[in-house]
Amino acid sequence: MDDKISNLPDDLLHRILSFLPTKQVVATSVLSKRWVRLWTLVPTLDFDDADLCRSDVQAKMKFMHFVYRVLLLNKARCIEKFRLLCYRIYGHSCVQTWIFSAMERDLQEVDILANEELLKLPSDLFLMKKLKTLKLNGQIMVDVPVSVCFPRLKVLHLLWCKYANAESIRCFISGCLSLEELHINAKISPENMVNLNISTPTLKTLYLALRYEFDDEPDEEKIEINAPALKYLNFTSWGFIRPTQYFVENFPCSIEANIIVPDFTRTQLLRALGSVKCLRLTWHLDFLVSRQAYDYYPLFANLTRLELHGAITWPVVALFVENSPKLEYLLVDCKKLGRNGGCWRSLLKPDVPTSFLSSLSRVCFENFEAFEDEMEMVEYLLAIARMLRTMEFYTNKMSLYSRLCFLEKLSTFPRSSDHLSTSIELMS
Amino acid sequence: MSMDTVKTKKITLRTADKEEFEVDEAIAMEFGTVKSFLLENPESEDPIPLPNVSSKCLSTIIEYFTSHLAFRGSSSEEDEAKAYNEQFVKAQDNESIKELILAANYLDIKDMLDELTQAAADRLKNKSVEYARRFFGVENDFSPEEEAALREEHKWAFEGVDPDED
Repeated sequence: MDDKISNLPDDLLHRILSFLPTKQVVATSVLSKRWVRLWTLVPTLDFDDADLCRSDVQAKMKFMHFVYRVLLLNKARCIEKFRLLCYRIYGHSCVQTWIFSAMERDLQEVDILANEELLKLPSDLFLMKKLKTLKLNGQIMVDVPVSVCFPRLKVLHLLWCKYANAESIRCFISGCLSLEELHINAKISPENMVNLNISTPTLKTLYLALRYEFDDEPDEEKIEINAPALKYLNFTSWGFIRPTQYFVENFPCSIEANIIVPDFTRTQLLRALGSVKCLRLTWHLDFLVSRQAYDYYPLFANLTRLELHGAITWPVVALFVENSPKLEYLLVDCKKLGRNGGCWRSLLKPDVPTSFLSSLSRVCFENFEAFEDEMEMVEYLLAIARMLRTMEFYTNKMSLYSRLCFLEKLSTFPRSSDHLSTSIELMS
Repeated sequence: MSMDTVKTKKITLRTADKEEFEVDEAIAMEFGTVKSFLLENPESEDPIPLPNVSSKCLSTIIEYFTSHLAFRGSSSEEDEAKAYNEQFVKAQDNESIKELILAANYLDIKDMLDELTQAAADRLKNKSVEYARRFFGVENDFSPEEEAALREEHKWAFEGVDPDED
């Protein structure tokens, strides 16, 4: 082996090792005599106790011993990345010590997972102006100072943290001047009220997951989003159905939104999403939308792609379609669709204009079984979508015979499009 | 569009094995060391010597940048670049990765160096000590007792490593 090529200099070795978990980095100390102390200058600390083979006291002691040793022996002048993932409990003073000792090293990336009771995030963390990524996961008490400022922070994850007061999240976000990615998972209860005001001119990606825990009907809830640069929104909520006001200012037109909520009728979320381009909605409670809700749906003026999943109903599907004049692609997942035995078209508004659906070109049905109400929707779309090019059916319950019968029936439906191809396939 | 052809300036680079490569100025300016040289000697027509880079390496690097510059400015630049990088890295064997790391370091190409060092780390991840020795071309100069003592010091680091596939 050519010595010159194989012999990478120390600083390049440090760079390569900086991408590896500390466990493996330390193991390189036995490669050869040259490597004994090489690991001590690697500029990352990455501890993950998921690697612990067993959960007993002995195994935990070995891990603790390891972390303490590494923190003492690592002599890198600045640590770029500090990751500490503790799935097990070691006592909050121990974990606090570990976090403190890493704080002095000019960190750019911090990723902490811990579920210690009484664990408090050190206030020194808020002085780390070089921070680019901060991820906190678990019952960590976050006490945000009023003057918080992270000029370089691009990625912020706050998952299931505890907050010193209701304004903590709003305060934190307003101090992040270049935030691009935000994940918030929060449990909202009478003891843990949080003012969800997300105002940031730079945010591109937002993941919001809210679990509501209230014993009785709470007052109106407010969620404010002011993010003109947003490209992707993923919103999930579960718990009590709550009346929620969504104030959304400056919502950009070109956005992809993936929404999973129990119920859309009691929230203003749909109205707030009126300007989106791509939408993926999942209802996850079984109930039928009442007729009064029909007037509720906004005009989706820019919507070109729509996917509907979960426990919705056919009238609602039709309503979405009718309210989206620019729709090009529609996917409906029939698996949990509320079945009211056909005749749902009588529930629709009578004065539907005939000029709409001039752009719908592709429709997909997933988990299709050719039930009566599904066939009604197929017939309906074929009749009104003049520019339809493909209609695809995906099933995992229909036999070859039923699929052939279905295709035969399909060919009898009148269609307003001249160039239509249809197919039915087994779902993989 | 103008009917005149735009003359792209060419820079000549000479590798360690005395081969000469003519590259577009745009590509040459991606190399930090070349860029500094050109800024200090703008009039120089002589080929720029790169004594630490082999011709095999340089031609691979030029190919990498030719592809990357083609993506630049397109709307799906990020996705295209990512897909290309994945294929590029996959096609290199361990020796080439090391050679390219040394070359990218010498030529001061920050982004490419980050890609390559990450790729090297991905190949090492969860592999045994023996694999790491082979990868870095390291001879074990410990006696069995010395190695055992070291392993005892950081017990936890040596627990539960996956067996190597290759």
